[in-house]
Amino acid sequence: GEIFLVTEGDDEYDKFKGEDMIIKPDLHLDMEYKHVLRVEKVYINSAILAANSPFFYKLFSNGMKESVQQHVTLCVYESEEDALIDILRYIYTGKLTSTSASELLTVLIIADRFEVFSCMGYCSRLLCKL
Amino acid sequence: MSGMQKKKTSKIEPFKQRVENDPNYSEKAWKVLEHAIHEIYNHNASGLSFEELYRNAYHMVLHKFGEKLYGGLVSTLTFHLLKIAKSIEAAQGPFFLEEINRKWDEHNKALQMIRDILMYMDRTYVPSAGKTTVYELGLNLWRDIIIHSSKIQIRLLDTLLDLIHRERTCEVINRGLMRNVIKMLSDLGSSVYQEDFEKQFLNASSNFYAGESQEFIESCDCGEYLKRAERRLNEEVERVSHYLNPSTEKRITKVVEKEMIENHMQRLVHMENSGLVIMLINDKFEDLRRIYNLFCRVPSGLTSIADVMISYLRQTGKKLVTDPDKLKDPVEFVQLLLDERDKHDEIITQAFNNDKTFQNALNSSFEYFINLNSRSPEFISLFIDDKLRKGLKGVSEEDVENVLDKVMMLFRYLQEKDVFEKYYKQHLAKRLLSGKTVSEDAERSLIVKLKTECGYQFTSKLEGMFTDMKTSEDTMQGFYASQFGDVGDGPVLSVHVLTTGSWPTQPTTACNLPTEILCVCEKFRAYYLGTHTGRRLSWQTSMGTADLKATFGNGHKHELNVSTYQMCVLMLFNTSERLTYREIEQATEITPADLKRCLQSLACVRGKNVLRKDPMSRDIAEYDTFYFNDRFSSKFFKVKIGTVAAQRESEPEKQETRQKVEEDRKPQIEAAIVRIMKSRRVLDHNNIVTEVTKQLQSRFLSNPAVIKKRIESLIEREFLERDKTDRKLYRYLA
Repeated sequence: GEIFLVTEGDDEYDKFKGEDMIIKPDLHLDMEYKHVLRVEKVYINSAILAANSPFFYKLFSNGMKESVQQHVTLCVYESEEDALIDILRYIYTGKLTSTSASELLTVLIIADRFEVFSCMGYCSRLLCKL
Repeated sequence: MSGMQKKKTSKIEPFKQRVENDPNYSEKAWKVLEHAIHEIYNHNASGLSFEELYRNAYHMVLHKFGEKLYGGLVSTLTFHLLKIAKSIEAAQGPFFLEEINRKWDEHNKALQMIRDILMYMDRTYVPSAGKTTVYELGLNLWRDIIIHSSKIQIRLLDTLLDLIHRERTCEVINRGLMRNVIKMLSDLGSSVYQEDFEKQFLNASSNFYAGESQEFIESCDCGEYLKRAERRLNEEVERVSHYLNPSTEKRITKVVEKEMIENHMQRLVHMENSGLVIMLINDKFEDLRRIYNLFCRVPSGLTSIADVMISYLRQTGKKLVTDPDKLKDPVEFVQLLLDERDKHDEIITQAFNNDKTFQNALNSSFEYFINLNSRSPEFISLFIDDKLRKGLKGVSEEDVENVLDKVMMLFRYLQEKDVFEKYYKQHLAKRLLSGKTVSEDAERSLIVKLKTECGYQFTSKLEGMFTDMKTSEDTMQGFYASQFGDVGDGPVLSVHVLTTGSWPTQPTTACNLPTEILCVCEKFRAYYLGTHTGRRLSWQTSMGTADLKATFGNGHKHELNVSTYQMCVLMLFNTSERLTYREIEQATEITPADLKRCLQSLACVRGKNVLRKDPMSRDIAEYDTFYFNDRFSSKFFKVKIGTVAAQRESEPEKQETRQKVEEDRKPQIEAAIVRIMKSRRVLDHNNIVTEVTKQLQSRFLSNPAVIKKRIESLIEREFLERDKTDRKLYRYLA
């Protein structure tokens, strides 16, 4: 499967960065993404994600729209984008690229949101070592 | 975060939570979620985006709108459940349960989806705010709004109980639906299942079975009733496995057990013409097994069976041992006892699971009635005697053991084991001396059994008898090999040398032996005393046998196997044709009782009368005349002339044996008293009596009056003395 990562502006009053916005023509967004900065396409294996996170497990199976779609959409703020990518990488490799405290904090928060509990633990340990 | 320690190189800035700038944000987000919940209940969930809903709920919780979210959820769920309640209440008749089931199913599915999208709230807000989780909240609301609705609660219970009642009265019901609805009650919590269903179910069942058992017991016999009760029990267990909670099984079976078995136990076992006694009499194994299996489920069920069995066994046993008809033949009498025991033993192993309660009941009953007849020890010994004489011929070794083991069971029941020993000794002596024992192995095996049962003391004398037999064999060989053994044409003598004390004491009734015999006897005496100095020999003519060669009319030759007494009598006819009773008595000097017996067997038994008697009558009178029966004939060459010896003892003999037994008990009682007093030094009367009785009960049941006499005798002989102040206390004098 694949994930479209829709990145919104962090702030409603942020400058609209039109040139960064990538929207595939076949992408039907039900929600009104007013401040879409860009859309990234990330290829993932739903089983691996589901095994590492209750959120993804439910996302792919609970009987709503995403359960039957080949591609699902996650919507995050710009400041969260790198952290989410890093978490997805963590799920596959067991490692994070983020090193600074603020980066790791963001990772921790996003991991909490998407219920990647093993990453939360890993992240907390890294933070303690700083 | 602020408490975190800073290190040199890294800089940690406090995390700035993004605050939603839109003041209506929470309202908007909730609207999205509320709409989604409606859609879920309307089966339109597949059009919703999980990610969007989760994100909204996440942000609401993150931005401290958790309470709003939770409150909104409660009211939305309530709204939907009230609607559902209406639709269930409106359902008619049989559709009522189906509607509940359908709506429950939908609610459950919806609840799962709602729980998923509110997962973040469940994980963070719910525990910190002390609320119940989304799913549990959904169940609680269902319980309060649907199940406890005044219009549904009673109706649901009545419907369920009615369906179960119908199934009990053989209607087919929708078990799947029952299972689902009852599963729903269990899912709502064990208290809901118990309070809203199980309690009333058990009550209704109790009433139902109270009525049904009353009806059954009026119309069925015991066996049929038990069959039905068993079927009902199985049905209830099956019902639980099909659609009730497993925890109900033991409660409902208890109800059935109480109503159908416990409440009617006495009436069932005592039922006329079909109760327990009839089952026992007719070996109704299946019914007995059933009654056991059912009764063992209720308190004191087995004792009530055992009580009836004991009283039945005692009654029939008492009848058996006191029936004069049955007492005519001791062997048959004991065989009847054995059969009776086998029969009930079989019942206990086959139907009563070999239960100890019943084994004890059987044993105690036998112990009770066997000892009601004081001749039981004698008869048991006679039975063994019969078996060892002839009964065991051609029977395998295993079967012999089997029979002996069974007889030992009866022996164990005897209270007067010393009386048995006395008789056993007599019977064994006869068997050994007449060479009638069939198998020495069987004899020995029985001795071993007695030994394990009663100890070395009990059998030492019996074993001595076997030793004597063996030594005698060697002695005879020695005799014939020696110079004394050359007796020429004279009769062949075989002597058993019996140790005094080991053998039952017989009054030495000497009789006049024929001179031929006397001559050989003297030679043997000379030989024996020559090899064993300091011994004394006396002849026990009452126990010997002899083989005689006789020639009758027409030159018919026969070998007669007779007793020593009979031989003495017959030898007289070598010299005279006719002899009167008086003449015979004078010539032989046999005691009148023995002589009469011996003459009776020689002259009055048809086909074996080598003598003839004048007048021809059954009894021997003082003035009868006897003459040789020249016309005697038999198809056998060897003719055995039995003695008309009453196998069982006659009344005076019995009295005599009894007296001997009592006499023998005296020293044993005294020995026990001395043993006890030696260790206790001082003891009061009652305690001595109890202890003596206990010590001796493996051999006999001692009579307190006899014990008292023995104590007095010991005091006289200064083994004991009475305490000076307390006359009830005895003191041991060393």
